This record gives sequence, structure tokens and C-alpha cells, in this order.
Amino acid sequence: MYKYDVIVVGAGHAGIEAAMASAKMGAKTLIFVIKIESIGRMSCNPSIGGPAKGHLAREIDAMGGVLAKAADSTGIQFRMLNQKKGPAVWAPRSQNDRDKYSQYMRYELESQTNLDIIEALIDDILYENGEVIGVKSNLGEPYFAPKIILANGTFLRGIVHVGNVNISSGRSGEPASEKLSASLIKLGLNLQRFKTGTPPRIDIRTMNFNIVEKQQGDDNPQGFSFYRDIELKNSVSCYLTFTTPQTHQLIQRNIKKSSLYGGFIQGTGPRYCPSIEDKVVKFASKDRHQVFIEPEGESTFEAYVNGVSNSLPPDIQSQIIASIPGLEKAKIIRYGYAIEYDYIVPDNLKLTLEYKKIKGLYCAGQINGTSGYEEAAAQGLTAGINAVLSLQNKEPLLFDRSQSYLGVLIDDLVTKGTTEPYRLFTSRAEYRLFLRQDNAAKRLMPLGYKLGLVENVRWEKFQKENEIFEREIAKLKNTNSTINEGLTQPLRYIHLLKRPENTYDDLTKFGYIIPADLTESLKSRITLEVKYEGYIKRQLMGIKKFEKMEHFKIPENLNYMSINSIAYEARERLNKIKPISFGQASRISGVNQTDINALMVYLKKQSL
Amino acid sequence: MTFFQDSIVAISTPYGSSGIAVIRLSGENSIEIVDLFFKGKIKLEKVKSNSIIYGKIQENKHIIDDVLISIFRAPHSYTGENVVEISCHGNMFIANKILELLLTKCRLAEKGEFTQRAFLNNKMDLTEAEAVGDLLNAKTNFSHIAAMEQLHGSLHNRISKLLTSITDIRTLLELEIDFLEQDLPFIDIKEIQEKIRAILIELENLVITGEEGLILREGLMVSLVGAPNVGKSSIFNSLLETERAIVTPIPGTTRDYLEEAISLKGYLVRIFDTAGIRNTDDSIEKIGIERSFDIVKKSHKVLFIIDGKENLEEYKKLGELIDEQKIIKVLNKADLFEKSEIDNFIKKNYIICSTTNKNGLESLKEILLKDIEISEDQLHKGILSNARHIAAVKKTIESIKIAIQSIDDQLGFEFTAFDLKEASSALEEIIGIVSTDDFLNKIFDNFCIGK
Repeated sequence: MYKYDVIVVGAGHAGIEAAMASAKMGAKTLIFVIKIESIGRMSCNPSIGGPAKGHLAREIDAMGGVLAKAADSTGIQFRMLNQKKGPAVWAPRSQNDRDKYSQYMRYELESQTNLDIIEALIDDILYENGEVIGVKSNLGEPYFAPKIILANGTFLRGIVHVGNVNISSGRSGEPASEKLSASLIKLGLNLQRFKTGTPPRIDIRTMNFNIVEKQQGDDNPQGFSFYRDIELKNSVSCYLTFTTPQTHQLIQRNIKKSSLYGGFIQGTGPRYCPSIEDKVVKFASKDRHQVFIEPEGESTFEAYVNGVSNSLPPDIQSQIIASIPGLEKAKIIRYGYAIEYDYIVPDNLKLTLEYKKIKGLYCAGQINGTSGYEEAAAQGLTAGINAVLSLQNKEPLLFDRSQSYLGVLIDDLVTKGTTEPYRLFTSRAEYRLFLRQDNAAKRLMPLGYKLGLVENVRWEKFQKENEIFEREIAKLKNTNSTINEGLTQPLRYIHLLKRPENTYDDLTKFGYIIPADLTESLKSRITLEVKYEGYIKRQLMGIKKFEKMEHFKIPENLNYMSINSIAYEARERLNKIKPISFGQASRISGVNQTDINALMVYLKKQSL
Repeated sequence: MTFFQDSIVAISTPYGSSGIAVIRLSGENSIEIVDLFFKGKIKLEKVKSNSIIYGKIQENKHIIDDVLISIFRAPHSYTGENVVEISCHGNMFIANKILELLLTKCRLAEKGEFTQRAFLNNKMDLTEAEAVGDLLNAKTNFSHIAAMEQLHGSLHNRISKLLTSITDIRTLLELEIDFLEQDLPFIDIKEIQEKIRAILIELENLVITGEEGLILREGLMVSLVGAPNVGKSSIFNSLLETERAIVTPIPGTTRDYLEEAISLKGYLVRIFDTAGIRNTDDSIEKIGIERSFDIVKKSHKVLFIIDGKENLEEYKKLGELIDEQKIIKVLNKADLFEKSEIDNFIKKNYIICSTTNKNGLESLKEILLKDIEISEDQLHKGILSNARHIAAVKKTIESIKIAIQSIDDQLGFEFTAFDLKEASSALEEIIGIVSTDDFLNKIFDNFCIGK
């Protein structure tokens, strides 16, 4: 008989982090995957990062997750985006070798102690007395564990659509998980349908390189992981071209043949990632749309045609590709498709990602209505950590909106819910000036270390870096310039660094000696903290205020429906979400300040 | 344990004029906040708990009023927090001026909030709290709808428009930050800065908002004009005698005219007894008369006083200085005339008045306040929100200025966005909405996003 502490269903970006965190924390862990070669599959474009997502990747890394290391190790092009904006929103991004990424992840899982991998399709959740006890595979084999983490991605009753054809499938070429949904509904979970899509892939050798715009990686590639002894390299370029009026006419003419517009799809798709049909229909006045050609790896000629995700029949897809300058003769290797799948309405979940009504059942990733590898990984990490903490009867780990994008993501999902596949944006974070990619380690690594997720070698490196940071800040604050060219009197170095025109290296002109152990990344972090001190202080004041409300707890088993002084609608929402603090309660839509005040008064009355 | 960290303030005595008005603050920082504006023998932070100290409230060294301040330190206070009570002269203008000053550092208390804090901080039990009656009120009055009702429609529109302009700019900035590598219109940050500047100008105009607001804030200026010996001074004195004279908060200038201020039905009325506006060859008298011109021009109302002889030449001259609608014609010494003569003056729209037997003084007062047609209730709300609004707009202006600076300093879009968010929040306080920062919907509706 198979007995484990934690079972993870699905080995995508969420499942991997969940299983790794769980095993690292000492729990005997089992992870299921439908097809062993698909571990860590990048189902959409072969890329990690971008605004908010890059931030998240660095946070996952700081917590001891694997996504960032995998991205760095298998990256084939690196860019720091948003450099012309401001330092709080600089965003690292990588193009990755799709197959190597998968292999890297498979190797990570296989190398991890306490962790078993089994290729199987899970059909059923086993439970007793409101608690899960295990799962059952389609071969009828039961596997037992008190903690189950569902990370099924788009596999729950997944349907792939191409034109008027639809195939039961969790991802092109892989079977859907048909029976698990029924098992979840039986447990009382609220399932809804979302839709997403993917574009065709072409053979890049059939592209006309002369008429597309080349996009190269940064000269000084910066990755995601804190432990920067991975050599980052740019081995490929991406290419930019555009759709044409001809493309748009083609789509308009054949719009009814698209699964999306032909009425074959009910699920809601993401607005930030529309299909080309949607773009052409909703923004008819635009005469062109961007198309990025992204190589899929170093050992293949396959390339991802980013920008033309669609669900049109294959012949139309071929014509669309041919209508794009540079792709006139391009050969399609895989067709694009739309996919519909079940997701769990996330207000069913606690901030630990445990299902509220059944002890031990956790859900993470796309199954919770999100999209994106980083968002999935972040949830996997959260669920994995909390499953083990709960097993050990320890306090849960709740990420806080003011301390990480991880916190923003989870709180948004659980407290606010989502009406389309959820993606993180920096604008979702109230404390964006504090939640920067450069200080992710500082914000989170101590937490990760305490949980046993961060290796000693990284931790030591981190502490060393902190020491240097503190030492240099003190030096800047306490010492005066010794070369005073252009100055009327010696000034503290910190004042010189505050001046907009001075960089850290410029301080040498005033006599500052830059020590050998001061890395470029530390220099830029110190510069940022000094130059933006005023803003950071203002942000921290906001955070202080926010935390007061977060620490103001609400008892867990409160029956809101009996509190007559709260508006009925608000009572229903509160009862559904069951917020843990006044801070969380105040973010629930339909709950206003009046209700919050009434709740305060009610709780006070109870305690008298 | 205290539940709240922010300090709140409100005028605790009824609006209108009274002997004294009490402004109460509660919160961790309430003592240091008042200290910023207090000048006395010692700093309030040094004052013993449960004691009273005399001093002045001043704004930039300009004295607003002599006050008595009571200090109650946590937990031995009504709310259980640090509480400061400022007793000032019972005039709406002064109390509001002080409130306005304090509102730059803390927020206006919602109705019942002091009692709510007292309850939450274990200073009273529920029965007591309910007996105070505020607690139940607190529930309904906390509602943001109430805040909206306090606004005149036009002001509400103006603020909403400003908010929309700020939100539009914020949306553009967010679009630039989160949706890069999209085929979107190029955003010129200098152009954005110009737009922010335009908002700043509109905000600055908003602070000086209309005649009515000014009268409420600065007082109704009434000047007395008429030939020598028609009884200007006696009308002046009668108004002072029958109404409470108050210490004028506006520093006196050279006294070529007399200025006194009274509180009339809660309004600050500043009365100027001028040297008149007649022609003269006397050079010293000329200076005085030129000053009278200035005063008359600035006045909201001018009492044109005669004692029987219609002074058409001077009336004409007055009409050249100010809008005739602002002139109130007054016949003084009415006790010396026959009824038929008086009827004749009434036909010519004179207010009939006698300082000897005090007849007509009441109608004179009524006429003075006629155009400020705000009911007691409206006045209450209007004034209350007024001080709050002005403080909020000032906060907005501050943030907007930093935003403009952040673009000059090329700090980065997210910093400008942060300043603008603060600006929006301050404005939202006025119209009582809480933003959802719904940029994503705006972005998805208006721009083609997605690779």
C-alpha cells in the first residue's frame, strides 16, 4: 500500500514547486504526472518573466523555489525590460529552451530526496469525515496521504478546439482528466469554465530573416536566481513582424469558422492575452498587430508565433501565417488551438490554498483560475509549504500583500476572486515601490530559510551580501568626501549619491573607494534605496497602516449571517470568504466601511 | 490596546455662535499635531495630563485665536487615546479656521467616531455607548453616501472631472509599465506633465471656490459709506453693541477707517466704517478716501447711509465703484421724519433705520445676510465639508506638485504614478468614494493588449 504525507497531482509549474517544497521540508511526498516527459512543460510561450511575473520569479527563488534556477539554467535569451521606466518596475525576462526546461525540472524532481514520481492519471479523491485520505488512479490503485495538492492545470475536462473540431485533451497531444471533476463536484467544489489559447508554431528556417526585425538579448544578461553562479547566455534572437490588412480580412471572412466565434466555446478567456480573432474583431480600426517569432530551443527549429493565438481551422491558419511579412513561405509544425477547462472558483479556498470545506485538500495553479507559469509556481509553493506546516501542526504561512507579489496574488485570488484567467500585473500591488525585484531576497529569503527551503550556501551568500550592504550604507552616511572638486565644502557621500546626476561609481571622483566585494547588483540596490529614500519612506508608512488592519484578526468560525447590523449582501460575502483579518475583510467586494465598522462593534460586544 | 492609529478631529460644540467652541482631537499623535500650531509658555507635550493651558493657535506666526487647551493622555481620556480639546472663541469662522489647520495633519472624525473609539478602547460599555446615542448613528453616518450628499452638485462634478483626468493619466502610466512591447501609441512623459500641470491649476482655482465659499471662510465684508454726520458711526456702533464683537483674525492696517467684526447668526461679518468717498482737496483726507475706495471695491455689501437728504452725486459715484446690487440704501435718523416722508423713502428701496430707538436694525441685519441663502442645516454640512474639502484639496495639490517634480527628476513612471495615486485618494475623500484602481478594465477596454 502506498502511504505518503503529501500527494501532488500534476507536475507542471505549480505541482513541481509544491512537491519540491514539501519534500524539502521533510514530508514524504508523491507527485503524479500524466506523461513523464511533460514534467515542467511550457504549454504556452517558452518564456519566463516580464513585469510582475519577473518579480514573482525572483520571489519564488528567494523562497527556495526552483522556477528561477530552471529559467536561468535553460535560458537562451535574457532581457531586462522596462529599463526606461523606473527601477521598481524593471523586469527580467528570459526566452527558454522548452525541452531543456522540462528536462531540468524532471531531473530536479528525480534528484530530490523524500520525493517519488509516478506516471498516472488520477480519477478520484478519497475522503472520510470531511478530510481527504488519498487519491485513486484510473487503474484503480489507491494512494494514501492526509494532504492532497491538486495542480491539474488545464487538464480538468480539458477540450482542445480547432475550428469546429474538438478533442478531449488537457494539452495538445495529452489526455484530459475527465473523471476528477466529477469527484470534485461531489466534494462540493464550485467548478467553472475558462478558456485560453495558443498560436501555431513554425519551422524558423522557412522564415525570411531579411524582412523581420531582430531582437537581441542584453549585453549584460541578468537572470532570476539569487545564486548567480549559473552562466547566463544569449544564444538566440527573437524576431518582430506584423499582421497585415490581408490577415485581418482573412480572419473577418472566416470568423464563423473559428471555435471562439462559431459558438463552440463557452469559457471566458483572458483579455490581456486575446486571440487574433478577438483583436481583429474588437479593435477593427487597428491595421496591424505585432507578431513575435520566438525560438523554442537550441536543439530544434521550431518557433513560437507569438501574437496569433487562434482557434481557426488548419487551412485558415496556414493562410494567416502566409499573410504575415516574413512568414510568406513559413511551414507550420503545430497548429494553434483554444482550450477550455474547469477551474475551481478560488473563493472556495483559504489563504493557505486549502479548500475551506475539506481538510487537507489544497489547490494550486491554473486550476484556481490563474494563468502563467510564475503565478502557478507561486501557488504551488504556497500550497506545498502550508500542507507540510499543517501536517506539523504549525502556524500557516500567509504571504502578505505589503511584503510580496506572492501575497498580492494569493490574496487577490482568494479575497477578490477573478472573472477571467488571472494574471499578475504590477498595478495590482499597492506597495509596488517596495516590492521590487532587486530586494526580493531581502524580503523573503529569511522566511524561506526558516522553513528549510533555502540551502546553506545561498543563505551564507545572502548574509554576506547583507553585511556588505549595511556596511556601505553606514559608510555613505558617516563619511565625508575627501576630494571636493565643485563642492564648497566636504559633504557626506550619501548626499552626493542622492544627487540625480551622480551614480555610485561617480562617488570615486569625490574620494570614495569602492571595495572589491561590492557587486554591481548591490551597487544598484544601494543607489536605488538612497536616491528614492523619500518615496520608500512614504511607501513604508502606508505599509505600517496596512499592517495594523491585517493584524486585527477575526475569529475563524464567525457566523456572519446572524449579525443583523451588517448589510445582507455583505454578510453573504463575508460568510463565503471568511476573512482572517479586518484588512482582508475590507478588500472583499460588496463589503464597505459601514459593514466593517458594524463588524468591529459586533465583535467587541461579543468579547464584553 | 488601541484599534486605530490615525488621529481624528471635529468641532464638538454646535455650529453657529456661542460663548466658546470646542475642537476635539483623539489619536496617538493628537498632542504633537496641536503642538505644531500652538504657542504657549510650554510645549503641549510637556504639559501634565488632565490639565489646562492657555496659549495661542497660530498659522505661520499669524494668530488665529487665544485658546485654552485641555490635555488628556491615554488611557485616561474619553476615547482612551490621547485627547486634546481646544476651547476657542465661539465663532464659526475661528473654529473652522482652526479645524482647517488641524485637518492638514489629521482627518475629520465621522459622526459618532469618538464614542465608537471610547467603546472599542474599553472606556465605556455598550449601554453607555448606546445612551450617548452616537453608536447607532455612527453606523448609518459612516456611509460614504452621506459624504456625497454633503457636496453641492457643481463642486461634486468639478472634483469628479479632476479625478477622471488624474485617473486617465494614471491609466496611461500603468499601461506603459505593465504592457510593454505592445504596439501602443508612444507616451510622451512631457505631455503627461503638461496635463498634470493643467490639473494643478484647476485645483488651485478650486481652493478659492466662489464668492459664497469665500464669505464663509473670510467673512462678509460690509462697508459704511455716507456724508459726514449722517450717523455712520452710530450704525457701526449699534451693530457692534447688539451683536457679539469678536477679535478680528485679520491683522489691522493703518486705521483710516475703523474695522470691527461681529458674529451674525454664526457668520463672520466684518464692518468697515470708511472715511467716505466724496471729493476733497485736503491732501490728508484724500489718502483716507482713496483707502475707502479700495475697501468699498472689495466689499460684499455697502451700506449707503443718508439722514434725509438724497445724496445722488455720491450714490452715482458709488455705482461706478461697485455693482449696484451690492448697495443697500439706508435712511438713518428715521425717528426725525413724518410717516409720509418715510413711505416715500421705502418706495425708493431705502431701509428705514434709527440708531436712537434701534428701529430697523434687525431688518438691516437680515438684508445683510440675504444673499447667503444657506439654511442652518446646509450651513452645518457646508461648513463642515468645506474645511475638510479645503484640506483635502490642499493635500491633493501637494501630491500633484511632487508628481510634476518627479517627471523633471526622471524618477520613473511608477513614482509619478504613486504621487498621482496619493492625489486621487485625497480627492476621493471629498466625494466619498473609494477607488478600486480599476486600471486593468480601462486598459483592456481601450487598448489592444496582448501578443
